[in-house]
Amino acid sequence: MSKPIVFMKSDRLVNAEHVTRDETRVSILPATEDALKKVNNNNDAYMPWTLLPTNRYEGLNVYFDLEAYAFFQRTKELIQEEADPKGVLRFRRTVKQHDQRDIFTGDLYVLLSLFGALKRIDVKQTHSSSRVPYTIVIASWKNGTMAHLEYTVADDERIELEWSSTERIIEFDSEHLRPVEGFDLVPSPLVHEIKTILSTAHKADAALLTRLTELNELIHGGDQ
Amino acid sequence: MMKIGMMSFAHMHAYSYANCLMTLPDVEIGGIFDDDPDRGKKMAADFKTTYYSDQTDFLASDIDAVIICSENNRHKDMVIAAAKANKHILCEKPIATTVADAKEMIRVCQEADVIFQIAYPVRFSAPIRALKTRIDAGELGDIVAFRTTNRGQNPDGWFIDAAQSGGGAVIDHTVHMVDIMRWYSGQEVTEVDAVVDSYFHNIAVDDAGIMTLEFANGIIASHDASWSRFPEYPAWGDVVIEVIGTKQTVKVNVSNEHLRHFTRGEKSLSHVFVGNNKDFDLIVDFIDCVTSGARPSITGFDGLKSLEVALAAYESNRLGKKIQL
Repeated sequence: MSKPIVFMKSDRLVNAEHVTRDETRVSILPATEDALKKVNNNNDAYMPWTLLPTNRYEGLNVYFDLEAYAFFQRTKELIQEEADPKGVLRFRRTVKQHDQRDIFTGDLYVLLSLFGALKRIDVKQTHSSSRVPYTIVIASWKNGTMAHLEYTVADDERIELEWSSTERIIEFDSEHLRPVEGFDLVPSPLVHEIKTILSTAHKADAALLTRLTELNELIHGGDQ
Repeated sequence: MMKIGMMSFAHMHAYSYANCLMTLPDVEIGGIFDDDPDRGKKMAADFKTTYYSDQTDFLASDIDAVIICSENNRHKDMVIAAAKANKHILCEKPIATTVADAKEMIRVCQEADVIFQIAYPVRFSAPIRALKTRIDAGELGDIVAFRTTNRGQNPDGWFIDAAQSGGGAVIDHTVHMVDIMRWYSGQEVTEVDAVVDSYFHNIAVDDAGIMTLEFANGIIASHDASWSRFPEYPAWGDVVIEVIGTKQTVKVNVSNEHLRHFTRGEKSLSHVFVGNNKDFDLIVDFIDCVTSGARPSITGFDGLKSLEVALAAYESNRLGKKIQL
C-alpha cells in the first residue's frame, strides 16, 4: 500500500515546513479533477467533498473545509464540553468565489454533525444582479440552537464565528489570527493541517453522497 | 430657564438622563413624578428637586417638557397625559408594547401639538453618526445588506415581566438597530423572519433572538438581539452594525471605544468605555427641539416602525414563518 494521498487546494496549504514534515507520511496533490485521476484502488485518498466522484467510493475519504481548520476543532470541543450545548451561533464567511453554494453545503453538513437535526432553515439572498452578493441563512436546530450563517464575496477570505451559550462565549475572527504583522505578504491564517484533515475526514459512501445531495436540494429549494 | 420633569425612574436610563440635565445651563429638573415613593423621594433628594406622588399635580406644574422612563406598558398613559397637559415629551424606547398604543400616542401628541421624541441614544454615537455622513455622501455606494447585533446583560426586574415590558431581549434590543438601519437606508422593513427563545437565564421572557429582515428596496439584514452577556464578560454588551455597500463595507462597533483594564479577581478584563456620551447628546438634541420648536430628530413614527419589526419577530417565531409588514 502506498502513502495516503491528500488533495489540497493550494491556498489551504500550511507553510512549507509543515508540508515537508507531512510529506514523509502522505503525498500531497493539488485538489483538481486532473490530479484526482492519479488515484487508483491501492491508494487511500483524502479529498475535499466537492471532488468526490459519483461512481466510486473505495479507498476514498472526504473532508470539509470548515471541519479541517484547527480553530473549528477547538471551538467544537469547547461547545461539546457543555452538558446541553445549545446557544446562538453567528457565522460568516467571506470567500473569493461568487458561487458559494458548495461552501454553504459543506458548512451545513459540519454544523448538522455538531448540533443534530434541523428544525427550520431559510435562505435569503441579495438579488442575483447585485454586484456584491450576500446570503443570510437563518436556521434553528431541534436542540434549541439558533444560527445566522452569512456568505459574501471579497478578495481576501475570512471566517468570523461567535458562539453564545449559558456557560460560555466564543469569539473567532480569522483576521485576528495573524501572529505576524508588518510584511506585505503575510500568509492567510485560513490553512489546513494534514493531521486535522486525516482525523476529521469521512469515509466516502453512498449514504454520505445522498446526504450531501439532500442538503444541496434543501438549500436550493428554500424552506424546510 | 427651561424646566424638565422626570416621569418615573423605573428604567435605568433615567439616572443618566437626569445627570445630563444637571450639567446643562439654562435647564433644570422641574420635578420628579414616580409612583414608587421611596425611589421618587430619593431621586428628588439626589437631584435637588420636588417629588410628586400624584401625576396630575406633577403635570399641572410649570414644567415645559417631560422625560418618561417608566415600565414600557405605562408609556402610553404617561405620554397621553403629558400631551394633554401640553408638555413636550421624550419617551424611553420602545415607544409602547403594542402597535395600537403607539399609534394612539402619536395621534394624541399631534392633536396636542407637542414634540414627541423617542429616546434612541445610539443615533448619537459619534462613530454611528460618522458612518451616516459617509453613507449620505455616497462613499459606500448602494447598501446591499446590514449585519447588526445588540447583545447585553439581563436587566432583570420588570424587564423580565412580559406584562410590563412587552417582551424580553427581542423587544429590548431590536428597536435600536432597526432604527439605525431605517435611518441609514431611508427604507422600511417589509419582511421579518425570526427565531426567538429563552435559555440564558431561566426566565419567563425571551433572552435570545435572531432575525432576518428585508427592506422595501431589497436590502437584506441579519440581527442578533439577546441578553447573552454574563457579568464576567469584559463589557456590558455590544452595539454593532456592518453596512455592506456596493463600493465598500464598513463596520461600526460602538463598544470598541474602550480601554482594556485588567485586574486581579474573577473578572480580570474590563472594557472601560471612553467614547462620547450618547445620552448627553440625545438630551441636548431634545432640549434644542423644545427650544426651537423644530421637528424632533427621532419621531414617534420612528418608534412605531421599529416596534412593528420587534413585534413581528415574535409573531414570526410563534407561527414559524416569515411575516410581511
